[in-house]
Amino acid sequence: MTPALLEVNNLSIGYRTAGGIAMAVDDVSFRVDRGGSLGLVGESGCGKTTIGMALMGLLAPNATIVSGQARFEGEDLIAVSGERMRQIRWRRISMIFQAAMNALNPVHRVQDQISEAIITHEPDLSGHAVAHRTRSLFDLVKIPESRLQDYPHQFSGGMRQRVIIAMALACNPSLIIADEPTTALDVIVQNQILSAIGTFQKEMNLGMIFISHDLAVVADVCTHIGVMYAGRMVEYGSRQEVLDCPGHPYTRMLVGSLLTLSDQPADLSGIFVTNGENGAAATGGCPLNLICPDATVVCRREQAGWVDLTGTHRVRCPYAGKGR
Amino acid sequence: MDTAGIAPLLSMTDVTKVYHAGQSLFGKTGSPVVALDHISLEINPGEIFGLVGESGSGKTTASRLIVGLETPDGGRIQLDGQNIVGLKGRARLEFTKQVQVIFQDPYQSLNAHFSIFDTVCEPLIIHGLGDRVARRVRVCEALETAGLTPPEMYLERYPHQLSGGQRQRVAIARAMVLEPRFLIADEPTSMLDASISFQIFQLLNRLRETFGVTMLFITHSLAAARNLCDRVGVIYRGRLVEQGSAQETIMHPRHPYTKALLDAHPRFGSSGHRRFGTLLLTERPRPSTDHCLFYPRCGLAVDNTCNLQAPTLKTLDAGHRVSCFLF
Repeated sequence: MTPALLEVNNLSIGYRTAGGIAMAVDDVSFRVDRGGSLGLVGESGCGKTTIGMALMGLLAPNATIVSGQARFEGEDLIAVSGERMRQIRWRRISMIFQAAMNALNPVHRVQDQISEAIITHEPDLSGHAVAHRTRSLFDLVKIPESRLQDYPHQFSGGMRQRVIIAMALACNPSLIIADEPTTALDVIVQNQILSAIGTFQKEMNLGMIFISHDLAVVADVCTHIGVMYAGRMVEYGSRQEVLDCPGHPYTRMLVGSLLTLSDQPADLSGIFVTNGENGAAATGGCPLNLICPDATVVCRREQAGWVDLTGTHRVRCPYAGKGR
Repeated sequence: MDTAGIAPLLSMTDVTKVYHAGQSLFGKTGSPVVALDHISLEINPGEIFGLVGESGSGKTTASRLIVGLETPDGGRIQLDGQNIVGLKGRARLEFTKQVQVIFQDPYQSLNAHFSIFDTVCEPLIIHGLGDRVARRVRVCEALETAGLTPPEMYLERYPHQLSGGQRQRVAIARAMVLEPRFLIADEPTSMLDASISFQIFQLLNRLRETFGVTMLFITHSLAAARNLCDRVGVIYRGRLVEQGSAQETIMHPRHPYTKALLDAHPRFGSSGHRRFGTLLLTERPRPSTDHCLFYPRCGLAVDNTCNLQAPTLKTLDAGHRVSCFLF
């Protein structure tokens, strides 16, 4: 097996609060290969953005990494110094933030903003080389060259998000973290952005972590899927494995609540469940036991360990793959 | 559902709404924005009608016009054949008892200083319904209807103590406490996670089945419309481009824009190629003459037709209507 581009092991992150440390990410492990893409799916507050921020070294001041490693190109991102992290950030790992299109500077031409990003990180590059790279980045995200001289307000939301993607790619990173990159966009624009992301990810052979609450979007973009619930990863496997035979009750719930455009409309007549929607961090037991249809006494008492369904597909539920 | 011959509960006829952007001290400077352009639609009793469109297409404006938060610049809006534009005083109060709204963002639509009881009880107080005891009973019933059980557990809580899904249920309880005949749900799940959205859809569906409440369901998701609605209308830049049964419109779309929306819908892993391909990769310049609004992005557009005049809604079959020169 070739070494992974990024290998995260037993990562736990907490936020210091008045009432002690609140665990946001609890013992999460995964790997991302070059040319591969991992989708992190889960509801808001499940810790998926915290993971992205930790890998970028951009955690909030009150966050603390309790344990774990993140091996990236031979270094542990968790252990490196702040100075080293500054060198890695944007050059080796970059991130596309949610609704980042609103972060462009309105008084500078987009070309200058991208050039600035390149020059800051690679000051030795000649002006000609910078201009050339800016043009090829625009080509990659499919913005016509004629728009290079425009200001951000002359672009639509989708176009601005493309500019942000171009900036994230400016220094040829090998890993890109996309945090809900299409959440504020319309369906048609979302589709265009997703296909742009898919294209450059393949062309540049990048590793990607794609963070989203929308399983349908992740299913379109990613080769692997990690499902998160209340700070824990509960299922991890290739896209096909997770979608075709979801093992964890929560994944089954997510897959089951995906509305599709199939011939038969979904059955909406079922009895709806309530309560426990918060996914509040449970101590001891499985965090899902409040809403899980299969929960037993054991689930209330202790955390489930990983169960391997296949060599690459694992589920954190003792009852996964048994019956049902 | 064959609804021919049934009088619609709500009808909009040629409704137009224009906003004047950039109004300043020196008069109207910016060019006017046509939010709704001669929209006509009818919603029959007991059905869920889905209005589908992108952001900015005018779907929320339509809901604001219906409940009287805005007044139309042209056209008629009727409930039960009675005009509902510009109602005042007692007539307006009577109207609001019949028509209620669930807004998009449950984090903003609930007053943070009101307990859940106060929130759901407020409509009863405004309409002077029941005494203290009766109100409490009705509030509890409404909470139960919305799936917040046992209701006593929620009465004294405040919005910040609830999750997004629970808040939206409170908003639904507040809308249902008056037992309205017509409910507008304006993107009720766009702020919620997938599994919770699904529960809200189940709830809305149950409200219709149990109470026979008629619904206008506003959404940007074709999949949601497909699964919840009986009929749908697709709106693009303020004009209705296609209308028909949810099954027909979404499984056999006619308008190039509807097809483009379907193409853009996440494929859920299946790597199928684009089915329709009606969307142009590079947009055409917008013609200065009257034109089909989708012309700049339409791959099927016919020059000298689509760029010279605007199409009107044509009825094709079984109530399926489409606004396109290709039909």
